[in-house]
Amino acid sequence: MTSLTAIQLTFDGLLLGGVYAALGIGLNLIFGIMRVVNLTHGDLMVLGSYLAFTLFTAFGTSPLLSLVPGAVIIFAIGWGLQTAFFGRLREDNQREVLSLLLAFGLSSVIQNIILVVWGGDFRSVPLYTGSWHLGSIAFQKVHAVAFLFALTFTAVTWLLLHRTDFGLALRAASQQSSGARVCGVDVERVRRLAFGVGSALAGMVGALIVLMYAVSPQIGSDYVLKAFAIIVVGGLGSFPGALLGGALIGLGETFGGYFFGGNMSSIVSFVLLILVLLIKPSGILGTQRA
Amino acid sequence: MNRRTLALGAIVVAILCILPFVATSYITAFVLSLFLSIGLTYAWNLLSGYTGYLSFGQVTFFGIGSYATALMIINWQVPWLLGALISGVCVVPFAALLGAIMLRLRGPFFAIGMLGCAQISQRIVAQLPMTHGGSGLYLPPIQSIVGVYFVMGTVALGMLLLTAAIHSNSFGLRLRSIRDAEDAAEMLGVDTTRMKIAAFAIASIVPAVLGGVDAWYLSYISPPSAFNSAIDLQTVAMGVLGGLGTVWGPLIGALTLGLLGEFFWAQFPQIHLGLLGLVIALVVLYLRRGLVSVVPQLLRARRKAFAT
Repeated sequence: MTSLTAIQLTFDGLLLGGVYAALGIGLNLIFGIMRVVNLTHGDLMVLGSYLAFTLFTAFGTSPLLSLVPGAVIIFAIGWGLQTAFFGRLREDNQREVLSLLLAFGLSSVIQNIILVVWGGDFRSVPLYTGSWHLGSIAFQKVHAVAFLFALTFTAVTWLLLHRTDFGLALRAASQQSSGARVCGVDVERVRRLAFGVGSALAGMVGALIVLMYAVSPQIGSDYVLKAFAIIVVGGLGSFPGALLGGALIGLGETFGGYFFGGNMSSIVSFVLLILVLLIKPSGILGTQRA
Repeated sequence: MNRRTLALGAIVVAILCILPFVATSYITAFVLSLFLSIGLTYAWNLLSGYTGYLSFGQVTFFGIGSYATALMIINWQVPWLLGALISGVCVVPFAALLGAIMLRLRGPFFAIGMLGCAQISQRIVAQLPMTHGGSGLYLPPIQSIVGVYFVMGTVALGMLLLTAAIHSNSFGLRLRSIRDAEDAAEMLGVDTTRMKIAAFAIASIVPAVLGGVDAWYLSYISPPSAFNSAIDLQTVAMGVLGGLGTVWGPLIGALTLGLLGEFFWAQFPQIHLGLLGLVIALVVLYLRRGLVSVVPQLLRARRKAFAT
């Protein structure tokens, strides 16, 4: 491999990694904070993709704009999932197992809804074609645009978590829910909002993904695995960890795709996930115990 | 199991033995599919119901069994039953190794890991040149389904009896202790790691064998069909609906969903998967112990009604 190829792959990997990081941050809000194994995260991302696709085919709006109403809708869905389903589980020792089963079942329901409404064909939104050049490195316009948007989401989420009362309440509720309650935090309401925000992030990433790749109802399962790989590798509950995890998974996919072929690239993220879980379960920048 | 249950069971088994010779091929094929579901659900229950380690990756072994058997039949003319049994045996060391790695992971991560296993095993098998990738493998057409019927029925019955035997003996109790309080069990001297790997390996044999038999039955397999995630979805739904970690749960769950599937959802195949997911969600929220827990309540209510 020439050094130019390596630089190209690194660049592409980091651009992809930015988008993946946003997906991971959304999941971190839900799993890192509430320990809910949110298997629906990938499907909600796909839902965001399909909503963006529909608005594009109906009105010609770019996903970059339609991700706003899309985010609102998916926020509501996420909020609803926590209220109607995950929030109803009692806090006993069975809760982890049950929330996992619940997420598994709901994931299947969402995938089926998408399938029924939009059909099983692959869809994409072919806007922003063409490449830009930076010296001898070429990168697709669409990847750069998606990266910038993902970075914006990430920054906004960071501000939300660290500069608002909601963010403070969220972090308090995740560290010590009983202590937070004593301080007057409505923990259940915070959880619902967190689920909503995390899901909305997934939906917005979905709008970016549909610009870059083709989506189908089933790929939610692939992406939720990627999202878990990202937050586990980077470190559960760690915000910079999700960025690092996104970068590593992105790089893993570009380099993996180069060496092993496109089909096998997702195996790289899986292998990374398992390796990190075995060696350092809290992840590279993780603070919590896995 | 008491004498009355055994007697009833013997009668049912006798009826099932005569069935393929007197009933239509449609009914025979339907009962055969029930056997398949029952067997798979019991295997999943043995691992996930008893140890509490939910695996969404049983289809990994089903697919491997399918392909291994199919390749043996095609390339070496191995008789189908022998091929399926060999697959079952050969999958054990692989499962033990996989389990040794995966079971180090705590609950949610084990589930995610197994979910990933199911996905990547499909991709890997599709890449291998000998499997002809997406075009799939064609097997010699099957002449009579009676053989498959009895094999699957035997597996289903065998798993039921095995679960009944394990449930109350020391192995089963140790498995259940892992589900209830793993750290406490470890401290009391239960070798949780070995128990988990043992359950994992045992639970891998049945899907592998059934996968092999199913490949022969269908005469054609492809990566998406052999590694179909719907198999895991259905198995989980049946296990959860019936009752996790119980002796009769998998049977009740498999029969209920199998019958419902045949009569209702066959009308609406496009929402089949979503309905299975909904069943799981509703059972988790409102009937977490499964249908098995409902039966004693019903019996008590009936006895009360007759007493007064």
